[in-house]
Amino acid sequence: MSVRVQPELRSQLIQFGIGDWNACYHCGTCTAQCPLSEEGFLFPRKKIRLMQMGLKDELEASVEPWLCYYCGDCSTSCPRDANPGELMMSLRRYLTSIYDWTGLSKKFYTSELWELGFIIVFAILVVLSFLVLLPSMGYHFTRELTAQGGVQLNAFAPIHVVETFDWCMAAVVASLLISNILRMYYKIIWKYGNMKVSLWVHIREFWLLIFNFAVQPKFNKCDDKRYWLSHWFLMSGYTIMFIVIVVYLPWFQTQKILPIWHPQRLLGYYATFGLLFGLFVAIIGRIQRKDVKFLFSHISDWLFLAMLTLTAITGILIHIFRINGMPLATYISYITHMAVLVPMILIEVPFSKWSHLAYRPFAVYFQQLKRYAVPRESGHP
Amino acid sequence: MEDILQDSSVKVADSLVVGGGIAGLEAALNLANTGQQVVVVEKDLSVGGRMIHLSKVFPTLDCSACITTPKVSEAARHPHINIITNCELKQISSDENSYWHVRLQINPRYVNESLCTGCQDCEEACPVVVRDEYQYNLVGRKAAFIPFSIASPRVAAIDIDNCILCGACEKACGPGAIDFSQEPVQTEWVVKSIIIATGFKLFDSDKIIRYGSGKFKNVLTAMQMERQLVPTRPFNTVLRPGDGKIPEKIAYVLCTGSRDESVGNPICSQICCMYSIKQAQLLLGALPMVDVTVYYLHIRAFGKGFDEFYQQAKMMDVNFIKGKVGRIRELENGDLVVRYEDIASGQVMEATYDLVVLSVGILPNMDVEKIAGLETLELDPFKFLNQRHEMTNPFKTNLPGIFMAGTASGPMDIPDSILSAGAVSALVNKYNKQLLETTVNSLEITSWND
Amino acid sequence: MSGKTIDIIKQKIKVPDALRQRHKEYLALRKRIREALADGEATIPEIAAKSGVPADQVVFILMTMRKYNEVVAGEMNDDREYYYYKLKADE
Repeated sequence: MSVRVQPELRSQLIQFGIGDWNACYHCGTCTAQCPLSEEGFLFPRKKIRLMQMGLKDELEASVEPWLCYYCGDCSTSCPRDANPGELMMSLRRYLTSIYDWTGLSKKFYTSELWELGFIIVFAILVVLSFLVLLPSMGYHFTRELTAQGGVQLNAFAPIHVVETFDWCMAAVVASLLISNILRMYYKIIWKYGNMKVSLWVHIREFWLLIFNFAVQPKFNKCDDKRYWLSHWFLMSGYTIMFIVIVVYLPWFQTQKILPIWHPQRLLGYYATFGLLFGLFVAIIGRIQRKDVKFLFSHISDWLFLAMLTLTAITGILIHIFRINGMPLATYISYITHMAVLVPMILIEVPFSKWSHLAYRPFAVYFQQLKRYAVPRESGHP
Repeated sequence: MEDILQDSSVKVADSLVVGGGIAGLEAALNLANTGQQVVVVEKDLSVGGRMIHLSKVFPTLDCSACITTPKVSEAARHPHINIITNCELKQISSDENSYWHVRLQINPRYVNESLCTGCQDCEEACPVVVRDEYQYNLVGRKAAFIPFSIASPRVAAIDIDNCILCGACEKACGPGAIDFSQEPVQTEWVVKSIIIATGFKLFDSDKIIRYGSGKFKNVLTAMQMERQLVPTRPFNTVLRPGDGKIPEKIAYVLCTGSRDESVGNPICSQICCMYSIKQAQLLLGALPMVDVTVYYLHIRAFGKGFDEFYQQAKMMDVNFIKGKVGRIRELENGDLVVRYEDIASGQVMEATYDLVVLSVGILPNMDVEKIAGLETLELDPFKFLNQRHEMTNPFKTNLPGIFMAGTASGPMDIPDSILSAGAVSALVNKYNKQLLETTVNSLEITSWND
Repeated sequence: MSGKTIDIIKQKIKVPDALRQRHKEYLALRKRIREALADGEATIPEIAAKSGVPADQVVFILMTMRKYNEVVAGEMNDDREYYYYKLKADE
C-alpha cells in the first residue's frame, strides 16, 4: 500500500484545537500511563507521530481518538507540554468533519460565523413557523386560545403536527448520521489495510455497540472516575427525553396535567435532573478550568452546553407555567424551547460535538471488528 | 538563641568563594597559589560538596573521593586559604571603591573545633538516631556526629534540632570540646571579588507522583544508589531499603525531572545518562548476578570517552530500552512494576524489578539570590546564574567583581566544573590586580565589559 | 571548656514533645528488633515477622545498629536473597 505524506495536515488540524504537537519527542509517557490505551490500539503518542508525519489516511482510519475520554493525565505529565490530550480532542473534531460528506461539519468547527449563523437561521425558522405557518394552517395563536381560558398546549402546538415534524427531523438527522457512520466504517474497516471481517463477527460483536452506547464503560476506566457518573446522567437524561419527545410525544405532551407519580412526570423529572446535573458539572468545570479536560474550551463545546442548558431551562419553564395555568408564558417558553432544540439537534447531532453519541460506541465496535479481522488474500477490493 | 555575637573586627581577603564544593575549592586553590588571599564560605558542616560523596567518576571510573580529598586537605592546609564551614551569607554590598563587603553568620556546631579530635566518643554516647542526610536517609546517624568519615574539618557537631539535651556527649567528650554555650557569630569580610560556586540542587523526585518516590520503599534516587556504591556505604553491600533483599533486577529511569516541562525543568541535566551508565557498571561489579535495565529517551554521551563508556556498558549486558517510564506500581512483596512504551517496538510493556533508581536531574540552587544585596543578580531562563556572554565574557555575573564557577552557571559534569574553576581563577586574578591599580585613581572598572 | 554547658542551653531551648516521642518510638522499635535477634541470627524478613516491625523500618534501624557496632552481618541465606544478622554480643 502506498503511503501519502501530507505535511500540511498539522496546519489543518490546528484549526480544530490547541496544542504544540510538534514539540513531542516521543518518550511514550502519555501512552504508558493511559489506562485506556491497549495493545494494537495505542495512543496518544502514535497519533501524534501520524500527525507529525502527515499520514492523513492512517489518521482517518483510526478508532483511537474515540476511545479517549480526555482525563488529561497525558497532558499534565507530558514532558514537552505537547498537549496530547488536546490532540485527541482535536482529532475527534477533525474526524467528525472527515466522516461528514456535506462539508458542513468542517465549516461549523472551523468558523464560528457558520455555526452561529446556522443556529440563528434555524431558530428564526422555528419561531416563524409558530407565528406564521401554524396560524396560516388554521391553528390560532395566543389571544384566541388564551381567551378560551387555561393552557391549551395541544391546541397551540397540535400534537400531530409537532409529531410529524419530530419524525421528519429525526429522519433527516438519522440519515445524515447513518451515512456518516457508513463513511466511518468505510475508512476504518473497508478501505484500510488488507483485512477482512466476516459477517458473523459483525453480528456477534454488535452487542458491544449497544452496551457502550448505554453505559460508556471505557469512560469509567479512566483513573479519574468523577466524570463518568455525571456524563451518564446527562446522557441517560437526554436519551429518555429524546425518546419521549420523538417516539412518544402524544403520551408525553398531554393536555391534561397528570398526577405527580405518573410515569410521564417521573420520567420527565428524572431526565431533567440528569440533564441539569451533567450540565452543572460540565459548565462549572469549563469555567473553573481546574481539570485538564476542561482547560481548552472550543466554541463548539460552549455552544453545545449553552443550547442544552437553554433547552432544559425552557423545558422546565413550560412545565411550571403549564401546571400553574399561565398560557401565554407557556406558549412563549414552548416556542423558545423549540427554537433552541431544533437547531441544536440539527447541527450538533450530525455535524458537531453531539455526533460522538454515535461515533464513540461505533468506534468500540469497529475496534472489536479490527481485532477479529483476517488478512485479505487478494489485494484491495 | 537570637543573641548573635558581633565580631567587630573587619577581615580582609582578596576573594571570597561562596561554596566549598569541587569548583569552589579548585578556584580557591588556583587563586591561593598565585598569592591571593582567599576565604571560602560553606553552609554545610564540611567542604567537599557533592563530589566527595560520589563513588567513582565517569568515564574513567577513578575514585571520586580520592580526587576530592587531596584537594580538600590541600585547601584546608593552604596558608592563603581560610575555610569557614557551617556559615551563611547574610548580606553583600559594595563600597565606593568597588570592594565587596560580605557579612557572614557562623552558626554554632556546639563543638569547639580546635579541641575536637574527631574520636567519635560523643557519637557513641548520643542516644538519638535520626536519618543521615549524608547517606541520603538510607541509614541513621546520631544527633552528635561527625558528618562523614572524610569530612573536612573532621570535627563533630551537635544537630541541635534533634538534640534531646541529655548531655551525654558532653560527659563522654575527653578533650571537653562540646560547648553548648556557643552562639551564632557574625563577621564581616572585605574582598575585591566574589566567586559564586554554590552548585546545584537535586530534583525532588517525590514531585512525580506516578513514580511513587517517597512512597514505594524500593524506589531510590540515583544519589541513594550512589551511596550504596561507595566504600562507606550504608548497608555495606547493595540492598533494597524496603526489606534488605539483595536486588537481582534493577531499573534506571532517566530524565527524572530533566527535560520535563511538566515539572518546570525543560533542560538536560547533562550528567544523568553517564552517571546511570556508571552506576550500572559498578552494580555489575558489586552484584555479579544483577540485571540492570536503563530506560532512556536519548543517551547523551557527548564527552570524551563517553560513548565508549556507553558501549562498554552495553557489552557488559546492561539493557537499554528507549522509552520513558510512564508509571510505577508496587507489588505486595515490594517489587516494582514499571509500565512504559517501548518506542522501538511501539508496544506498551510492563516489567518487574526489585529496585528502581530514578536518575534525578540538576536544578539551580536558588539560595544565592535570596542573600541580601544579590537580588539584582541576573539569572538565565532556567534560574541558573546568567553569564554575561558564554563565549566572550564567560563566568561573569552582571555585578562587577562577582564571578561564578561550576554548576552555579548551569548543569555540567565534574571535569567541566573543574575547568570552569580554572578559567574563573585566571579571570579573578586579573580582576583583583586591576582593581588594586584602578582604585587608587579611578573607580572605573574597565575590564568588566571586555 | 569544662563543666556542664548543657545547663546553659537547657535554659535557652526546650526539647519539642514530638522529638521526645520520636526518640521513644525509636528506642521501642530497636528493643523489639534486639529481642527478635535474641535467639540468634535472622534475616530482615524474619526479624520483621518476629518483631512485627515493618521491614523497611527494620532495615533502617538494623543498618544503623550495624553502623554503630551493635549488629554484625553474617552469611547469605540459601536462596542468596538476604543476609543474616546477629547481635554483636553473641560473638
